[in-house]
Amino acid sequence: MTQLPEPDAVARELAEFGRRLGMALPALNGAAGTQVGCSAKHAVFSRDKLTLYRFEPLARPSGLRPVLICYALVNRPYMMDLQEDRSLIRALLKAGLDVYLIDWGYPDGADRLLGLDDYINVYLDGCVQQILDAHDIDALNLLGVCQGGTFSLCYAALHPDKVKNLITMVAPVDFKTPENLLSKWVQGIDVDLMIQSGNVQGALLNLAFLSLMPFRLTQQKYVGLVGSAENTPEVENFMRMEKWIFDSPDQAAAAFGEFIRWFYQENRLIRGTLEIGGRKVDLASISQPVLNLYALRDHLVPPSASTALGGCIGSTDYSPVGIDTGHIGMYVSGTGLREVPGKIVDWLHSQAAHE
Amino acid sequence: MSESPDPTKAWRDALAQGQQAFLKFYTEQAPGQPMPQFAEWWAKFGAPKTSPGPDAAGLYLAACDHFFTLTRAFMEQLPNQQNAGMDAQSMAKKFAAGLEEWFQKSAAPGKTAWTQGLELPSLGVTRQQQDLWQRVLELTKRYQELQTQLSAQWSAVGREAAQKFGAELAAASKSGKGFGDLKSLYDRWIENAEQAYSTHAHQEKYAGLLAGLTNTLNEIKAKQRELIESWAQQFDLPTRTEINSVHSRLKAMQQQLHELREPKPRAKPETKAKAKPKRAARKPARKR
Repeated sequence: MTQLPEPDAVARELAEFGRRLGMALPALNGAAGTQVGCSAKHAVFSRDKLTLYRFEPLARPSGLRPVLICYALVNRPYMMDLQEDRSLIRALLKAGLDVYLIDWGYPDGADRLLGLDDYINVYLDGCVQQILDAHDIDALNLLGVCQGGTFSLCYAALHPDKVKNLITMVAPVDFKTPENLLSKWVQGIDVDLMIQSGNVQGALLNLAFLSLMPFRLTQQKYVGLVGSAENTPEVENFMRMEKWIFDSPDQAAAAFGEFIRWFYQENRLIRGTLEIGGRKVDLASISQPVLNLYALRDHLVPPSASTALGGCIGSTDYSPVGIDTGHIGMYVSGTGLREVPGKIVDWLHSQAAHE
Repeated sequence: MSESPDPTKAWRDALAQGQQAFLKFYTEQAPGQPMPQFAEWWAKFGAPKTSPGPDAAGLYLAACDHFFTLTRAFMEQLPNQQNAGMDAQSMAKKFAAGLEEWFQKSAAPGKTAWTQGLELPSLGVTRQQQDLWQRVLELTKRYQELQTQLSAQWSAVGREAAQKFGAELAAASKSGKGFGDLKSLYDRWIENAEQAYSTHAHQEKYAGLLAGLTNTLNEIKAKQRELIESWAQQFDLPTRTEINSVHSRLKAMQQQLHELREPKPRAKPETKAKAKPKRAARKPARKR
């Protein structure tokens, strides 16, 4: 006889499951209005749909240069400041850092022609310039997250004089490593045909991300919630994550097409053949100190995609740090929040000591 | 252990009891209403329209529904009077086969015949529109073929997942290790399913099918847009193509304006360039 659960135990478990399920539904309803984002901030600059925010300080200034966080175009940047006990930004503020964050906004049909040149050399550069002018400094600390990390690398290569220290988080550099499932899927996509229909819907990207681990992400996750039905804060945490995951801006057609073709299909960044705005993006010209944080269990940006950076940049001060968590866990998991802010702050202090 | 001579009855009772708990909750919310499917329930009595995550909650209910359905499929394969005395490995094999059948049933693609009339040539003054429609139909047929191939891949995933899961059950049985509860069994099923899926998803064939489906769907959209635009032109309505054209001109003008405001500095010979103070050397941000 197989060692399966005893019928009596199953009866109890199912009865309990049903009871909890009954509780979970109103609990979900109750959590429907759960808010995201927790730290006070104000807009200091805007251009088209972009807004640059500066966070209110939470501690005595550390004396370090301001940090500009460049988030990805995919999903919303409030993931960096989701709630009080799950906020990378809050941890940085508590360490006395002066934190700025780029919110790219929600592109619509009028933005379909925005390309990577616009995003990197106009929008990102505009934000950097704003901060440099406000602080009367020559260069700032740039922290790029995921696709924003790739943008930050491009920016640092194109405008090296404006970046003092560069931090990349779960940022893809080599887009064709064997573990990169997303990359395998997009190789045969006709990008020109795809963007003929305009901006690429965020929902479509979500579908692709969910398809990377469909059983876990579309079934197990929700069944697992039943176990937390009586714990209101956990249900609220779940809803915050759910809101973030499905709050996906559409992608400006031109930029999306360029990103897929140049980075995923042709792997130009690491091959040294990338040009943005008519200028070559040469990773070897990145000579400033670089801290590269990557997640050891990342299913979206495999560690191999990030660690490839080490062999490409010109900097002699390069620190790769693997964190034992997943892609999203870098910003919200216990491990991520225990390790990531401390590593960033310590590293920036050590760099400042050498200035 | 239950004293019942037919163990299946005890399992069925257990499932009924579990579902009863949900039914009780439902009937309190909607007295006199028949019990709908989970997804329907959510549509009727779910979160208010202002909820930020109705899709998520719908998914949640669908997943729970899936859990119950999977459990039911699981129950059907449990020991009963017909297979009493079967050894553990045969039981696991039977279970895996049942699960595989259930999976294939739930993943079976719908089929529609699209083959008729596609070979006829277009005629008359509406020839261009007929061509477009014909192309849309051809593409739709192609899309369905690819969808069927993808469903076959999913069936293979289900089969392999069920086999892996069955093997794991058998191995656990042999070693005397058990699964403490249904949730653990369910979690093992998910793990095996993900492993089976990952093997397929990383293969070139799977990637090719996904790309083929995406490209076909995008071409259908493009052709449909052409049809709609040809209709819009009849009524002098603006089309996306025209708006795109205006956007392109506007963008080019913005670029020209920028270049007039901030002309590009002439390149200087590198060897003779004097070092300037950093602040002055900084290049201003480009405005659009």
